[in-house]
Amino acid sequence: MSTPPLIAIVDDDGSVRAAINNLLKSRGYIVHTFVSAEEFLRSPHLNGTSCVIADVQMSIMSGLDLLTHMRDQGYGAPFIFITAFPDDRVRDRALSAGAICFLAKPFSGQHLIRCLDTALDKHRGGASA
Amino acid sequence: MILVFSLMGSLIASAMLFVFPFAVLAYFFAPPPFNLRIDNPQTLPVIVAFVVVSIVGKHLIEKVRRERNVALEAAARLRRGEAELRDREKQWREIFEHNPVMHFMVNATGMVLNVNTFGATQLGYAPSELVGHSVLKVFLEEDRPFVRERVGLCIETVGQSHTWEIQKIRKDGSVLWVRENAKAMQWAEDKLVVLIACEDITERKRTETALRRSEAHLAQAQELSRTGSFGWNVATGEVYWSKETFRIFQYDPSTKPTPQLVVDRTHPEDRAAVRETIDRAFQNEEDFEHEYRLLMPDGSVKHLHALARAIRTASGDIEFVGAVTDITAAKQAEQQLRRSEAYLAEAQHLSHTGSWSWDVHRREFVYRSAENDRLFGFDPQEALSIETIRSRIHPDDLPRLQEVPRQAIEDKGGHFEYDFRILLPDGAIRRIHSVAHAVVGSDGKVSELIGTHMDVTEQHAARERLERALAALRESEQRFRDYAETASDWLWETGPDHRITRISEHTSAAILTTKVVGLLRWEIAHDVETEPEKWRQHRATIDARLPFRDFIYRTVTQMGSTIYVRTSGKPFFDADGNFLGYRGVSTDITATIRADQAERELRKAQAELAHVTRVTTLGELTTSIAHEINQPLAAIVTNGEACLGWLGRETPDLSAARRSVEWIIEDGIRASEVIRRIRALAKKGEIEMVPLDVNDIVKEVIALVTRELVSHQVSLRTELTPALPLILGDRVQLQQVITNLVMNGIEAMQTVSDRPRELVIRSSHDDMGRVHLAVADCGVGITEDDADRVFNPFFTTKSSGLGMGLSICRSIVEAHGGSLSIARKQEPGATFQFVLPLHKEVVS
Repeated sequence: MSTPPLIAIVDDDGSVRAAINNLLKSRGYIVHTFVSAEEFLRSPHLNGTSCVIADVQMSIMSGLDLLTHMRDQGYGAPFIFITAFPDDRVRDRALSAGAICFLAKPFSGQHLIRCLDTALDKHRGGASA
Repeated sequence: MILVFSLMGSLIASAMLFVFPFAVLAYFFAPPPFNLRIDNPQTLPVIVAFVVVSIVGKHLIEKVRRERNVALEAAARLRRGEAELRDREKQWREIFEHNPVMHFMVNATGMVLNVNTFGATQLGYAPSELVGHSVLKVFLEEDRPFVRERVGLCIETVGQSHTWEIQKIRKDGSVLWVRENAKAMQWAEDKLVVLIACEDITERKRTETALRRSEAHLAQAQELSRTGSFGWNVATGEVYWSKETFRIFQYDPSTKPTPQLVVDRTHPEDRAAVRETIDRAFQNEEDFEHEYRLLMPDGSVKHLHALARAIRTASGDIEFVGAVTDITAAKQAEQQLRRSEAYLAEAQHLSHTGSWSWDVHRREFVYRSAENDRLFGFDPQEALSIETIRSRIHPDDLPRLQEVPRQAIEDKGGHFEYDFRILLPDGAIRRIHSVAHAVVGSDGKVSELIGTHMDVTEQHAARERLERALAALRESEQRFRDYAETASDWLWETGPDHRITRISEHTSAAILTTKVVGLLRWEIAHDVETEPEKWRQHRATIDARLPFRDFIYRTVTQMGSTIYVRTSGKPFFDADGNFLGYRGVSTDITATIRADQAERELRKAQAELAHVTRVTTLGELTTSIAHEINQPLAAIVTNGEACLGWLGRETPDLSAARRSVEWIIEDGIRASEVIRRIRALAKKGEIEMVPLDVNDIVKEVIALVTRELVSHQVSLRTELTPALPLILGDRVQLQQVITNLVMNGIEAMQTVSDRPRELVIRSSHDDMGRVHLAVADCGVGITEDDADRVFNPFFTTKSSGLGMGLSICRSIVEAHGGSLSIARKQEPGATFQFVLPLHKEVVS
């Protein structure tokens, strides 16, 4: 691990954002947090982001919109969706759009780590490929 | 004297004729001595010339000439004339004897020397019985010293005549008044005799005595009548006052009366008038009569009435002869009478009572008192025609008044009492109470009616006022009775023992039987056993004699149906404060109770419906609620694992672990807060009206719907006016209303994509202190048709939901005394707003 992967967290709920940030940092990840999709998109770390953990339900631009927008912009960073509204339709749309995981809040930290690891592996593989 | 006579005799013989009677008188006393010496011839021619007329002169001349011519007298001539002289002497003696005047001749000792026959006869004596006796014999014992003294006086003053009046005693003891004329004369050488001629004045004396008696009577009469007489000769200025006049004027009778004395005594105030009267009488020489006052030296006042006639005296002078009467007593009596009259008039005036007398045949007033005139408004001097009198009587009362004399004439008497009205010219009305009595004449017929008119206008007015007051009182009583009857079904009264004494039921349906009279109030109630505590408190209230209000109990009507009665009562006391019982009103409130029960049922149903809709809303909010709870839960779980991560490091990062735990705690609290709100909404609790700030409720609602807003991409703008007045309301229900409006707004903007979905919540208050809350969206809006129906139950435009939301909201707002409505606006969308009254208790 020459370069520690950069994780972006996009969630309008401060508690959740802080909690995920806390968890990931405890595991040694480098994390950047954003209160909205727009803020993330304006971020200089957009390109260096290895994985995006985004809330689905956000005002103005939802998590899915962000994914679509990123893909449209050519960014391939894997997405892990988290949501307080576990809706099957949304889950299906998210997964079909290429999301690694679709986690319903509250979720197990280990589950998130596993998803993250999967995503990073995929990102590394994808990036190397 | 004799010498003079004889000398004069021849010269003035004719004049001697005139003194003949006197000469005769003197001469007859001494004829015998002279007779013997009449023989002087020289005197004869004289004597012949004066045969009849001058015997005295002849005698005197004879006496004078006796010494000178004694011898000259021829015896023949003497003889020739002797018989003639004797005849004459006899003749004169006869004259002397029968001269109808009593003559005495007495000596110095009072012895009678001679008395003529006439005189002796007059005294009932023969002359011989008197001659040689003391003359005192014919005088009263008590007069004798006077006689002696008088004789002595004559002796001392020889030649001088003395006159006096005295009584003489006849032989039979009767009295004779005589006027005696006496004179002493020298008779013989040294003898003095007293000649006395006695004129019988008995008749005059009697007249005089009678006159004196009349005068005495007059004086007495004057004194008794306090009338003095006076005379005033204007020409001579001579004034005569009677004794009584002096007494009246209080002047000494020795004072010389003058008109000025009258003026001096006159009261200063009357002086001018008296002087004027006297002056006028003086000038005009006419009768006068006047009344005036005297101011007596002791300060007292006398009233006099003086009356005088102007009489022309024999000498042609004017003399006033008059009488002056002391009328003080009369004046005082008159004043007394006037005062009495004045008192009577005053009494009549004060009592407004006029007296009158009415001639029933001539139909006119015989007498009318001043007050009577005043009552009728008549001029006291006015002669009253029957028309004038009638014009002052109220036309309606005239027949009754005319009936009275008619009745009196018909009944030949009678006592009448009647009322009538006097109509005064100015339109004023006097009410008169009249009492009249018929006066029956000697012919047994009624001649007059006498009576009184009493002005009872005031009394009448007072009575009318009283009647008005009583009417007002009755009306007031009726009014309160109306109030009481309107506000109740029956009125009741109990005695001091709380037993019912009176029931007055005024509703058409007889609710209670009158048999309840005599029962205790709790004996007619049917809930005493089931609600003992209520009755125990009620008994305590009335035992304390306190008023009570809206006490409700259950009883049974006489038809046997159960009713609820609401009753209020008030203790009443007598003037001394003794408790007499209770008075009160009762109302059958069964229907009200039933209605209350129905309303309570309705409220319950509404509350349940509200609850159902709240739960429904919660169902609609499920995703939001899940989100609200899942967020903190997610944070908690994540932080927990983070904590484990920090602890699981080779070098555990304790501070990070600690921070993680702290966040866990915060999120745990956050989660429980969400659950609390949800539970509150879901709670099916009692309505709890408490003072609330609408802004607080809005904030709580926002907390609940935030996620909903986010998920529907609705931005929320709040315009909350700070420091709103508190309203009284139920927190949960008002949350429900606002939540409902917000949710509706969010839903209304679901389809909006051409404009920002914005929801505005606005709070404010108006001038009246009412709180306004508006929820505005920019959604599809509400059509005109729907605007009328949106608040109807089951109205909905949604595919899901009961359509009870707005209906329930309106019920809730109205239950809070407010109103919920749709506000019109130009922009797209709808605005729902409600107004709530301020919570007065909090404000005040």
